[in-house]
Amino acid sequence: MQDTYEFPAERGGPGEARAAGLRRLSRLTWRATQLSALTTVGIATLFARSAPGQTVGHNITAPAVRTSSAAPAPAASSSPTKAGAERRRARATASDGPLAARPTAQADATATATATASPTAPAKSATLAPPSTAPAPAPPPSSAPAPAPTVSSASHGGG
Amino acid sequence: MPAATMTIAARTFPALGTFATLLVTESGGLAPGCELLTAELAAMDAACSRFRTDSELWRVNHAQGHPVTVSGLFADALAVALTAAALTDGDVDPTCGQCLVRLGYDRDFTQARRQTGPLREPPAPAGGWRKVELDMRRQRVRVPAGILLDLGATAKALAADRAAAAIHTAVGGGVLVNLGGDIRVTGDPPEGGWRVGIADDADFDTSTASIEPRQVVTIRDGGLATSSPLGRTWRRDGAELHHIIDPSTGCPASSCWRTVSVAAASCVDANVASTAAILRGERAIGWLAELRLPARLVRYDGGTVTVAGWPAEPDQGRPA
Repeated sequence: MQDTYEFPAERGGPGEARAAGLRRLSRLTWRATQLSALTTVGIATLFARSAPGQTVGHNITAPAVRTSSAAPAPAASSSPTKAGAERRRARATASDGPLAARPTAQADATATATATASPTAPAKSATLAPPSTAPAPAPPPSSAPAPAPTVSSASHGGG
Repeated sequence: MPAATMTIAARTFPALGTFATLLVTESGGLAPGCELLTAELAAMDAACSRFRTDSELWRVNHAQGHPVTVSGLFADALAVALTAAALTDGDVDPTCGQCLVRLGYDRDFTQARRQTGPLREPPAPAGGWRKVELDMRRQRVRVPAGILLDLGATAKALAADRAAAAIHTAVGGGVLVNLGGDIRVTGDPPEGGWRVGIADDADFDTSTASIEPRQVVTIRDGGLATSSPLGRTWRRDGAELHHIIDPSTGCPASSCWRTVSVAAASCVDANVASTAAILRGERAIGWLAELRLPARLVRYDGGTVTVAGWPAEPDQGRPA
């Protein structure tokens, strides 16, 4: 059994030892450069993935935005009840604040519904849209043999 | 075919607890159009009926908060209902199902209205539409336990929109679909437009189950819907109840309007606006005017207000 460890005899002179040290230093520097490059690529990839998500998130809230128009304010007066006032306060609490702060579930629904709507599905708009042409008064019955009108009412189990 | 020579073929049949009417300007399109309309109504009923135990809505409502995979049609219908809630600040809320159950509307309407005893539970506010999770990409829905969806406020109007589009695509020409008063027209209208009678639900004759329109207008595109607290009523413990629910209280809405008719770009939009107008009371006049939605609103005393270009009635109309 060997009791002591004998260092191997140094081969070559001091010049060869310095050259070996420089080679090791060069390898370390190259590996550090590689590691740095990989880290940079990784961070860039992560950033690229997260950036489009933020853009979508911004668009998601758009359908809920209701733009106010220059239409005149209602002239009719109202006499709100206490319950009505409380309801309005509750709604104000629920709907005020930044749109982005709203739960994302509904936002996802609104946004993805637009993206995947079938051809026959109605277009989802950011607001309730008026018709292209407003209803017009029907001509008097005597002017032409007009067919009986179809009726809109809620009395047959409708809205 | 030139508009002047168009004839209108029509058929009416019972559907969804109400009636369905199809009018087409291509007479050969009536039979295939009725087939498409029947198929659309059957699909919507299978997806969105609150009372059928084999419907998708039943599965979603009874999943105890677990996610449920649904069809594209159901996902579309729920997306429309949630969008309606967003656009009306929650006035038209699809989570009013539990409110209706507490008010006794817990089964098919013809059966529910036979029950007249006291309610078992007091009214409670709606569950809250913001709590409903819908993933359109995966077609998955999660409704928290205790919340019941009711898509009745928008599903029928959506069916009218979808059916009219499908029929027009298949047979061409002009198409009018009327589902219990929720109307959608598409394609080239007949000469002079589609004649639509606007009824006031106070005029409903229960002995003949008919109603005479107060006004006849013509429309050329889009949708038209009428909402009324008088449209679907029942009695419990001596009190008259109706189906337009105030989500904040869970009680039938108290409104100054007995009937509201609205024209819009689609039947869904018209239906959402007319229902929300009932809930908003006097504020509805300004709201509808701001949105440029032509509308006719009838007060309980019979006074009529017209908004955003709706034709006034010569004897009693007064544009707002």
